[in-house]
Amino acid sequence: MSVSDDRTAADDPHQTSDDRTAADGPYDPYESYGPWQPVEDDELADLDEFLRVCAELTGFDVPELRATGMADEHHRTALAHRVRDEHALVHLWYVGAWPGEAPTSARAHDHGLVWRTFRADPPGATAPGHGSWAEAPYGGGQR
Amino acid sequence: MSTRWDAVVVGAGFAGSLVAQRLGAQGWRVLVLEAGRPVPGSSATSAAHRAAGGGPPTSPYPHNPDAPSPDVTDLTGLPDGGFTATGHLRQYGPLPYASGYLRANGGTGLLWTGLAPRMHPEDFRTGDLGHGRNWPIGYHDLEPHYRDAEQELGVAADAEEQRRAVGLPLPGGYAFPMRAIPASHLDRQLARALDGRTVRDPAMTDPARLAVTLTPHARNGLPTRPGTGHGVPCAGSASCVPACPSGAKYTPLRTQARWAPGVELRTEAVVGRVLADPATGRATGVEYLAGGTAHRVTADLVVIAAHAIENARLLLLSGLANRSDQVGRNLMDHPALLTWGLMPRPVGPYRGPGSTSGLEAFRFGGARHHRAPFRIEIGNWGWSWAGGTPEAEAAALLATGLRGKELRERLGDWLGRQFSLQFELEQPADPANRVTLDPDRRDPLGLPAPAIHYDLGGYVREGMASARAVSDQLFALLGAEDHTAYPGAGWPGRLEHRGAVYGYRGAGHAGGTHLMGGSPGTSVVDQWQRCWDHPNLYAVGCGSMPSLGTSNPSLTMAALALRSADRMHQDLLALRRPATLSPPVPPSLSESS
Repeated sequence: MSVSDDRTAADDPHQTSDDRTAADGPYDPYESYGPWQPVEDDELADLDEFLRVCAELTGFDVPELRATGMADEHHRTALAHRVRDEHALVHLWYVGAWPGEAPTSARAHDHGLVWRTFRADPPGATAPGHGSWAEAPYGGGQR
Repeated sequence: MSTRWDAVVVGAGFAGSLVAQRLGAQGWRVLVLEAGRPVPGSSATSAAHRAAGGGPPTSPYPHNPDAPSPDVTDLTGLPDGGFTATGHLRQYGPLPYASGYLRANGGTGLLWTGLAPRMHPEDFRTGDLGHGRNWPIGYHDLEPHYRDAEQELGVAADAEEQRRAVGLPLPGGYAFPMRAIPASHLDRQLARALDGRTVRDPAMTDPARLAVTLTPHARNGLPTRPGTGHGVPCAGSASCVPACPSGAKYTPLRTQARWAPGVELRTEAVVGRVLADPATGRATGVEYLAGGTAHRVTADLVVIAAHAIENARLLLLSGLANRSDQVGRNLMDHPALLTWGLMPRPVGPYRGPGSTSGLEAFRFGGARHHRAPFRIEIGNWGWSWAGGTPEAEAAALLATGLRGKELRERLGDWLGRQFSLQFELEQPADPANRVTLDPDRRDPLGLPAPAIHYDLGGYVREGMASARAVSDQLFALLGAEDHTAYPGAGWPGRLEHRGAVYGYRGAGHAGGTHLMGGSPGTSVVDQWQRCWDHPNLYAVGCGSMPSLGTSNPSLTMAALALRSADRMHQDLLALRRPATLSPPVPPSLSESS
């Protein structure tokens, strides 16, 4: 396939100029957006304000963020980094790690929001029971 | 110390642990020397892997710096094709041997996927098909030992389905110890779309009829009958690799737990040489390095069970068993061609074992004359083997600047529909694919490091072409979006064939490096895995296999090890017979060790 005009292979790890690549799907979530926005320091010092900013960035509301049990740990992690931007904060919540670093804890990894987006659990973190994988996922439609 | 052991076993992985268990149960005194370190429990290993944010399969295990292990991250694909390699294996190419292995107590069997299919009767006669080598034994010679291995490991499978869909001759009334591991929700979606339909493999004369078929597992299912269970059934933690946190997956540590008191394990004991009497050819013992000093042990029987590559390396280091010039040659793996994409609806990925079902139609029949056969594993863990872990996918999407509800919804939709197909191809024995001793690289103990020459021939490449043609038709039948791509940077195993690009991963199934055969001039070991040149030296493991077929080889390795253990027992009895004319005396407690 050909790579569409406004994207490059670097933007999208799954699209390259190889001869055997993806067919053009009906939709592709990887689209270009503007540069990452820095986050003002004074917005983050207070936990409530930190959570409000993070809720907006992550798409998970404040009660959902609190329910992960990671609010304090992620707040501390964010404050420990001098340079903060939207990308880093979302990465922290989604993956449980500051970009380029290991997760701050096994808990941080296990509560990464990336798994919540498709109602899954991270491998090894839970034991949902024998045969549970045969059932439709939550929200997986009929059957 | 001059203690004499009945047997010394080099390597406490799959084959070595089984051999030691059987010999110990017969009352023989067995010393097991393992190069790697003891490992923590599987739950702790899984937690360590998560705390590190993932990593290659060997990464959460303790490593003995004196006994390095190769891993897949030793290979780096180059943007314009080709690869570079670092680490334990020196790779001379032209293609990379793309699998790792683990030197630790339990070996690579700690981090295996736990899939335990038998080989098909046809797989033992690949030489007759014009490619690779025949075995000196057939399926029926091994069949009782398959049953033995299935009991020992605890295999969950449906005998009737294995007969019907795979064509395996199982004895009437045979029941696996445990009922089949249930099909995943993804398997069921595929079965609805594919069962009874046909696709055309360009190498096959007739259309291939599809049937999604459950895979035998060496992980606990529900007992077939009261008392046949092996422990808590698989709880679906979706973490078989690198470690099953619940312990439902078989590992060699389960067999070690049944070792008799006459079996002794020494870890971080790196064997550098097998010793043999130059006059008689008989092995006399081994030399190993531990704690900075050299040790020597003597034994009536020496068994090397250190992985196909390390077994070959050890024989080469020892200058033994190589009359045929086949030691280290015929290195095989299952190159795994991956394709991946998005199903029309959510499939619930990352739940349950990595693969629970497959498609079997491309493993057998006349097309094997023309192209490598392949088994198709249905991948339950999204795009992770292809490199698209959820974390990597999230980071990639984040990097585009997407935020908020839109990010959450798009990522959830993207990840929730991911699936992959894993085409594991047979690679026939080729003497040019080989392990040698690197002339100018040594490991931390000063032992020459292993070097690899590896390529995939036209037969495998034709298999890849068929696999991709089949994949395209499967995606069409499924209504799935194909996102397969093999950029050089992410694919050290990458090749072009008739104008198309293919990427492969290594399945971790090294074999062939001390293959068995019918004559000492052309093979390294006989049908008992006994070196032709040394009547009391056994080389056991996948290295003995003259062909790998299309089955994950661990069950076959286990069956071979159990078969050989019977023979070792007979050998030891024969050694004692002139003196005792009676069964062996149990190990003497007064003997010092």
